[in-house]
Amino acid sequence: MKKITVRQMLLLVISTVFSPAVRLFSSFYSASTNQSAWIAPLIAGVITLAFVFVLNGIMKSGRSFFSQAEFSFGKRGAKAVGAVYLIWGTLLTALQMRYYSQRITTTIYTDIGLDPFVIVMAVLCIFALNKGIETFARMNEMISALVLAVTVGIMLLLVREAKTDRLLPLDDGESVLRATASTAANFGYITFTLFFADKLTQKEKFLRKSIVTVSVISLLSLWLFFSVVATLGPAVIKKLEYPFFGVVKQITVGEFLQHIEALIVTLWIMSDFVIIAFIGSAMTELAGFLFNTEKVKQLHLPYYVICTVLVPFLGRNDGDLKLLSEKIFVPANLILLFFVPCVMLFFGKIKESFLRKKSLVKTEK
Amino acid sequence: MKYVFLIIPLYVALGIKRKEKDIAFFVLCGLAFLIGLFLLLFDGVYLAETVLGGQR
Repeated sequence: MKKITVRQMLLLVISTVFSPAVRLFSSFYSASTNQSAWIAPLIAGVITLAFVFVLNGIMKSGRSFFSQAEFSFGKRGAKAVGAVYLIWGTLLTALQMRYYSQRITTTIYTDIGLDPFVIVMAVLCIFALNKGIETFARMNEMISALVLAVTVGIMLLLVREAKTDRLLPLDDGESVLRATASTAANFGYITFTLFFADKLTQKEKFLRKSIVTVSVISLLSLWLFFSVVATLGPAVIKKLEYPFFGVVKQITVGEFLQHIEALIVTLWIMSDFVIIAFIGSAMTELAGFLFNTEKVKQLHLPYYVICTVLVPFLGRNDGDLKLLSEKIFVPANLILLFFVPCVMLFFGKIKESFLRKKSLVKTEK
Repeated sequence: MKYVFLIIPLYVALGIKRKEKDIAFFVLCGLAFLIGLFLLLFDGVYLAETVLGGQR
């Protein structure tokens, strides 16, 4: 069986963060014009760092996410939980596909409908995943390096325009809480790494590498929010549909570096591709567990057909999608990506200690 | 996009000829076809409207 390293798997998580982080601005500032929300990635990062120890607890037990669910909840319980994950994950993949196509049709191809972009993305994901998650993870090593390098480069250019007085005071607790929930829901994608635990090598390095990954995504998001809020200020951000795109449009270095927004769109597409393929792959692994099959390659096409037909069904417009994210997907992400693994580990530990005591009693007899 | 599910019967027919598939494949294909058909019949129904309703 082909294997992937923990590092390759965690690089997938880094690539997935860029696209939702850029999208989150408008939802942060849609309700209020307070500047406090930029601190959210730091708080979400600390929460996710604590959560990494829970994931490491599951990883150390030597079980995958699915076998840990079976151990903690029993066979039927695990299947029921798995079914909930599959329904939510499918809708989440469809939502990401919708966001990706909506963003392209809003920013560049304003005269074209969503259909061609969604279908092309679905075909691309099926093609990439049919070669195996190992090949996809290796390909992502290049994508993540590019995403990181370009994002850092752009943010360095943005710092010139930043005015730190736009960042203070941090006095709106509600804005910070809402933004923290959205960001944590985004960072929670790290849980999907456990779906591939059977294929991972160097598991002993999981804790250390996960801490580095969460630190990188937290600092990257913090810097991203910091530079955009300090450049535009919350009042302007509220009026723009894609504030980061608006800020990047302003970047010019002399006459040789202009109109680099095309680069940002390329990064968006690459990050969207990784997130759609990554969640889709996790969900087909889950479908394989639910149907007791290891041949998940055959499931990619029907799975992405379901996601494609679900795309127009999600909502009429961008406003519907934002509301859907805020009211349904953010809470669902927090429950399924953070809360359920904690419960799973807790039940697992209780069961383990119970079984240990039972075997001790037997040996004493 | 609404008609994408129509490739499922074709894919199933071709897929069976090419390789042996197991029950998971047929269940997921069946689901894909039924969901596609359902959404085509109930065109204009949106998840955001159905779930959130008055909050929109």
